[in-house]
Amino acid sequence: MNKISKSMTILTILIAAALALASCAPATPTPPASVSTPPGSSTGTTPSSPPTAAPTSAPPSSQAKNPDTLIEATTGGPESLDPQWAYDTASGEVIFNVYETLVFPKKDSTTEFVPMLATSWDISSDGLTYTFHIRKGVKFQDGSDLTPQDVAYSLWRLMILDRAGGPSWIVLQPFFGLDVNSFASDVVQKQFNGDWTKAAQAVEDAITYDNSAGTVTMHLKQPYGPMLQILSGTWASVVNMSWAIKQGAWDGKPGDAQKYNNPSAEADPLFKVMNGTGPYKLEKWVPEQETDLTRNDNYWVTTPLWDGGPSGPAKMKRAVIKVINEWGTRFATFKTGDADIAYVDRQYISQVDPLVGETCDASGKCTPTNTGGAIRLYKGLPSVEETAIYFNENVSNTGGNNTLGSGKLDGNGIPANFFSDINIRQAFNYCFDWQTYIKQIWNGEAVQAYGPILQGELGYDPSQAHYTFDLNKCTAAFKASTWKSADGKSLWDTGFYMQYIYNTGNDQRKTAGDILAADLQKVNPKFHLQVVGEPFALLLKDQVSGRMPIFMLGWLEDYHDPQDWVVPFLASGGTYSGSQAFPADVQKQMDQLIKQGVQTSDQQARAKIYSQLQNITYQNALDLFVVQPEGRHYEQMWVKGYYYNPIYSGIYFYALSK
Amino acid sequence: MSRYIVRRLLILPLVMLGLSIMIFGMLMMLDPVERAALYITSIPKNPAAIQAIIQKYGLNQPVYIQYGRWLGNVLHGNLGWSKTAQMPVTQAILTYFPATLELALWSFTPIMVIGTWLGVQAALHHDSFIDQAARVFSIIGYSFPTFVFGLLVLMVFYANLQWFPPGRLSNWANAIVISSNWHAYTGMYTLDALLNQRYDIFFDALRHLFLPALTLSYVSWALLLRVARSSMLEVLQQDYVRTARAKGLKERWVINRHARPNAMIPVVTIGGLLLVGLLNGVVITETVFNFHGMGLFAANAALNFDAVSILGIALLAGGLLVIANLVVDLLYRFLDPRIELN
Repeated sequence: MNKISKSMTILTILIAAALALASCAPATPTPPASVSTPPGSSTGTTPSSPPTAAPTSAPPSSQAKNPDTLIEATTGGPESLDPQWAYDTASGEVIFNVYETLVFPKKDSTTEFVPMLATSWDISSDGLTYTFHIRKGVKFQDGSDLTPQDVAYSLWRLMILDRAGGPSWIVLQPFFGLDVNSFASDVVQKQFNGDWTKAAQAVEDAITYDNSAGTVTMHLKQPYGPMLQILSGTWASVVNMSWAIKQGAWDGKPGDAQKYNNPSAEADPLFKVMNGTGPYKLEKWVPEQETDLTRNDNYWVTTPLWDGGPSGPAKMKRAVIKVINEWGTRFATFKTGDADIAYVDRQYISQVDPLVGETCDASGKCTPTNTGGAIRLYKGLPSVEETAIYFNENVSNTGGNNTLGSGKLDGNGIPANFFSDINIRQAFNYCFDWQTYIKQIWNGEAVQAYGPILQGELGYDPSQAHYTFDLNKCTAAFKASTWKSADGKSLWDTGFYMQYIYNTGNDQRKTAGDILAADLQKVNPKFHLQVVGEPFALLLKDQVSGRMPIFMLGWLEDYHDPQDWVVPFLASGGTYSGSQAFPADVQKQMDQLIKQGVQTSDQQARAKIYSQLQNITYQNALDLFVVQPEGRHYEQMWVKGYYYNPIYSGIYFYALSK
Repeated sequence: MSRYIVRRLLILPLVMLGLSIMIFGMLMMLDPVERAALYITSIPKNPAAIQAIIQKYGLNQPVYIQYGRWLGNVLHGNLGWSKTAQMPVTQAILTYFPATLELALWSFTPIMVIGTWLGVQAALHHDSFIDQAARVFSIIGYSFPTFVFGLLVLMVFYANLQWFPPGRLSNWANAIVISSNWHAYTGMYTLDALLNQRYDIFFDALRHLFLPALTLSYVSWALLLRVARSSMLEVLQQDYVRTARAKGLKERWVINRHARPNAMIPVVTIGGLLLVGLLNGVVITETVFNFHGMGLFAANAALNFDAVSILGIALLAGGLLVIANLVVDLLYRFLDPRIELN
């Protein structure tokens, strides 16, 4: 062996020794604290044990890693930390742990609200005035006191700021009209002839405050059924006015409003700074990597907001949200216990399920499943999202459109208004096999959607008429179609070709298309539905310009009320319905009902209206409503206190401990 | 030599200008609505939002106006705002590049030293067991998909043995690094840890670097080994090596002083390209090990059609390539003084 070879050998040994030393380094310099004992209600963990009333804690021998820190491994980070700018769930998760709203969902309820920064509220008999009594003694994390002016300012700022694609429209509508979608164009331009100062003054007049009386009063343009729901959203979080102004935010003067409207993320001074009243404070945010929160030791909640709820400073000193987009890495992090909670994509549940030691349902009842398992699974969690296959009854064909094939009924395409025939829409509904789709894709953990209104939501009727998979009815509906080819042949004899569009990468939507295409071929081999994936950017362009005859997308609700479903799905100008060209008479009827629904205070009357809308969608087969999926939540067995509320933006760390 | 260096560096602005025009031109072929998708993560609830975004960011303006605006900002030192990284492009590069540089440095040394050593040994033991073993080793390494190899070592050494975790630091170390007591001199945790005299953090950062560095090294050793082996074999056949041996020089002297330096020229060329590749970020390795560096940043920017970020990354990449090529040329001169720089 020559000298260099010897050197290399020595170097190799040295490197190996150094790394071996490194691998022996402690994972944490502080000794782990012992795990708290299980709650008294916990029972045994053998598979034969009956369901327990509450989750058990980890077996005594296991020790929670990072005992004072709760770590969530997830995908995708926040877009902004400004509650009035942000509109994505990842931002919402950070925001609702740091900022607070006037009212808050009562534990796992989606319809009951408890006072949070308000202590109580009064609603006038005409439903037009809401008076909130603001809680005294609440301090922001910088030590300043919460005032009614801060509450009013936060809502004013939400409406003035109105960044494109943001949440402001939700709060603009109750104060300025149901057709308002933008402060600049619909309020300033249309209602105040371009006078920004007057428009901003109108915002301040709509929400007034009285610091001495400790109240905030809201003057609505029309009664608004889901008012409390929208005031519990993260966009309605309360910021400290003087602090915000110091950061460079709007100064509250109507004359200055225009220059603070529609800022880009980077131009927004509250983009990466936070100062809330909530149980956690922002320590550091590294976009797309990690968000670190530390406990607010001066948190104002000293008595629980609901029976059995948390109180006092948060039990966990730190909460960390880690973005780990790669599943293999996220799984390894979760498996080793370096993450307490992990987001598990649907296609990977089979990898995690063998590690599950306890399975719980949405109500929190748990059943031991595997004595060696270290992970707790909550399953069957009703989500607040729905997927649908949309029909466009008048497809744009400008400059040619491949999705229509030849653009004629000649067996190689369809005319642009193909779906204007109700028989076609009904046939597609009868030809979709929900059972197979739910079993194949959702492992049985989804329910068929009967219309735009979610199961369990106001207006939802379990006995609602709905379509079921029936190839005979599908055949009959196609045969009943009045479409004829140029040479006078029926649709049945001619056949068709069209493209079904989904967003690339979403295999659930691709499979739905594949199932539908296969069943169409079963009823008639001349029926060709080509399943085509498009990148989101292209799909967005095609959706906006109404170029897709049939496409599948999903909807995640903003606030838990049927209004947030019927508008995008059924209203004129709705997100989807706006480009679907529904029959004019049906559209008119639906618009009237939607208006009535939101302006009605009586919940029973509202339920009837929304039920009627749900029925109209069925009778006219406006869309092919697919499923409302059920969610899952995975956590280490040492995590305590979790409960599921579908309208939360993510994990409410305040409720959790180890 | 200094004139040569200056002349070569003068190419840099031209390369960058050409790169930026090419990328900008291609991105502008997308519809404004497609480019607005960067600012919209799902179908917007408020349909009017798309037009508002197009107006706000001037996405429907003529190409030359959009390019001119970008170029004007660059000349004022502002590379723009990266929607992908949620920070200014300059800051994003300053955030991600040290991570990539750290990984590159910890990978490049073993890649070059071990890869070259294996190649030279294989050549010196031509057709022996050592040569065959080295070739099999290289073929396996080259054939192993990085993604698969990375995930396998992650599952073995982290998920099962818990020795080498992904990411850049453990949670406890990260808590220290983000505290006010920590001075981030370079953004490279191993170096900063030494400068902060936190040896526990140094070792923790090293533990996190081990698997990605191993992954990068293994897939690169094969290339280096093959290049070094064939180059060394060729040099060993040269007349001057035979002459050196005929003069009665010791074999070690012949190998180390006559053969090896000349065999290193193609190795240096490959090494330069490898280093540029490492510094531009290695998407798969960074993804698997959740190592937030330039590779992940670049991939996400491209997926989002984030023009401003893509342009910033391309400028950095172009600059690195020009500089690396220059360094390689200078190294040629160092290895073989007969080579003239002109």
